[in-house]
Amino acid sequence: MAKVKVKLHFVLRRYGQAELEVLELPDKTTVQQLMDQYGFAPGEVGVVTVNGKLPGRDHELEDNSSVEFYPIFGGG
Amino acid sequence: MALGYIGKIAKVNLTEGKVDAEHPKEHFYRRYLGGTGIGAYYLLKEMAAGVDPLSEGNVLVFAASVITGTPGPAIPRYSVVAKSPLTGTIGKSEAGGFWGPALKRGGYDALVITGKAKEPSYLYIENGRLEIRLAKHLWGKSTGESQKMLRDELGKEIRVAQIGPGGENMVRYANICNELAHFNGRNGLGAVMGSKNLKAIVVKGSNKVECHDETRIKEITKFVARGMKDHPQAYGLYLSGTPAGLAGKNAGGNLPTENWTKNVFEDAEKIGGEALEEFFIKRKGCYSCPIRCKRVVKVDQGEFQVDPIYGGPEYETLASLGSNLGIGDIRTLAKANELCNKYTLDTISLGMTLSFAMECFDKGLLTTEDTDGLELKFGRGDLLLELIEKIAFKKDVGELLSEGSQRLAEKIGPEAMDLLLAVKGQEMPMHDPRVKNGVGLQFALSSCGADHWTAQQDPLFQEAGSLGLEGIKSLGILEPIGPLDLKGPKVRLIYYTHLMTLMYDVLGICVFGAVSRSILPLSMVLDLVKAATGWDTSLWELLKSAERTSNMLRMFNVREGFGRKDDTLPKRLFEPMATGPLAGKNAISEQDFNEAVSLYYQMAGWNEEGIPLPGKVAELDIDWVGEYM
Ligand code: SF4
Repeated sequence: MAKVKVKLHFVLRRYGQAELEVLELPDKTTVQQLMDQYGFAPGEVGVVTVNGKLPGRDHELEDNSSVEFYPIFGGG
Repeated sequence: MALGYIGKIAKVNLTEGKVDAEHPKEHFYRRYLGGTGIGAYYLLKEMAAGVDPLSEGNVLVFAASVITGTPGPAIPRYSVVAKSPLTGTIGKSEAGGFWGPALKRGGYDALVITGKAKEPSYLYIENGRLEIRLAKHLWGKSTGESQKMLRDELGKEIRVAQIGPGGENMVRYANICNELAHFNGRNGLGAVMGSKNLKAIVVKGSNKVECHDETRIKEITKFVARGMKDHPQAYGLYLSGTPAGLAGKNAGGNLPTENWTKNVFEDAEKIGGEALEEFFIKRKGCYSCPIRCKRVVKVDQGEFQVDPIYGGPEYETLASLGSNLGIGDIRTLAKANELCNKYTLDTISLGMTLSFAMECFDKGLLTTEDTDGLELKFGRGDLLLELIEKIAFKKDVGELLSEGSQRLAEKIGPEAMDLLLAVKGQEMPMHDPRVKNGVGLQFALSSCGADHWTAQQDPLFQEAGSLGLEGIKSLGILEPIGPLDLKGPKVRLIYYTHLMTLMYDVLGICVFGAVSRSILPLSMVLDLVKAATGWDTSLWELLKSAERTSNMLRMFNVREGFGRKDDTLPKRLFEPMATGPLAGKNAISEQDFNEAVSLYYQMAGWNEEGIPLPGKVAELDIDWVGEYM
């Protein structure tokens, strides 16, 4: 199992129990699988960082990773 | 009987103090719809080529649309159109708020203003009557002061579009504000008002805009009000407004920082949506819009106060005056926003002119000898507040900085040109095209200089099933397209969404209300026009009207000598990102970009120089423009 810290920003907070959550995930869970678990609407997430980096959605999350989800921003 | 539109356009000659009106026929409204469509029509017809934008030869148009002033959702906008003193191209800018609907309710679809008043003046409109009145007592006053004086004099129901000292003193990026917190922000159109000695346009309107089917219009407003909370993008705007965008941009490694020499800002958290919450007091919105995305802030403790009558900063302001100037203090930014709104300065061009000057200073291209002893360094909040005052009143170095970044670069010389981040003389908004290449095409191809609402932005269309993509399927865009792509499908996406977005502009629809950024679907945009006017129209006809306007804007610029050489991007965008998670990556390929521009011209029916081909001009039924070329 991998312990992963997840932070949901702004409008995405409605998908979680708290702004910052710690989840126990099966080994090799990918970013996409974590997103599916939250059930975000397609295209709703704009940026995903893992430990401050920008890996692809097929990136496998390691123990103690810190994941942050930011909503899509289509112009301001 | 006219439905939706009023059928009356005022012609105001300030030099002669004369007021007249035209009563265009139904086909005029059906062809041009409103806003920039009407504005471009009058500019092409009534203005000679080569006119100095700050001379009395400039023509200034304020125009609402055939659906403005009806009880539909998110349609508060009106356009101001004139030759831009910043770019020398046609200038256009839309503002929401309340003034556009008031103009219609006051008995006019549009105002065409020519000449120059001998003394400071304002226009007063009340239910079909228009007078030119003296504004000597208002000249020199901030927007808040003028609005209060006008209300005391004329009653609380009036709506005021006006300029502050920035416009009066003809800062080349002065804007026009209505209700103190809504702006025709770009292209320096406030300076055009200033050059005409026109302080304000006051409207008192209580007439109802007659519609063919008001029940249907109200149903659509209810649809938006009910559905908004289940629509992630509309709800996101309601919940946190545009400032929420800043954190994601920083995390994504594309937050413009220190004149775009950096791509992440270490103090981003201190100036983003969450930091602003501390001073948030209430939401505000625009005429008949359930989304209410505007956030009002108040600072009443600490070294300075911020007055909530001026609203609150949007994302563009937080980034252009914050990260872009290396300033990580939210109070300073809230204060700077208030000052810009008092003086009517466009925060994007202001921030980018200052950041450009700061980078020049950093590189020794400007010295204290040029700046009256001021050290133009990044990260100094006190300096920002001081410079806003100096620019608005053109004091000391403020005079130099009031000209915008391109004129400053031309003065300094060729080395400075490489640091310049402007297209056709207009400073770039806070969206880095290196993470969304279609935005680069928008910036380059916009007829008004760099502008982020010329089309829709790439990230909305990268995922199958996303709201952004679903929203434009009826245009025939069916597959997702990646943000780092400049091939045919991307060019087509930008071209089609350009027409869609310009259709919103001419109709006065807010881009934060409709697809792809928000909730109102295209089918209901069409229904709004049908229900307002009674026309048996189609999305085809409305998009063709937008295309007509797009081509009229182009032809105005061709007449002024603009062409392919001007449809380009600043050098820095062809270089990789400098810092953050994307450091060393994401340079735009110059070759791909140039090919995309050619492809766009072909799709638009333009020749290799970007000039509309005779067949396109005939197809759009604007052959008449030829007489004025
Ligand atoms: S979405 Fe926001 S900016 Fe647009 S009309 Fe509504 S309140 Fe005004």
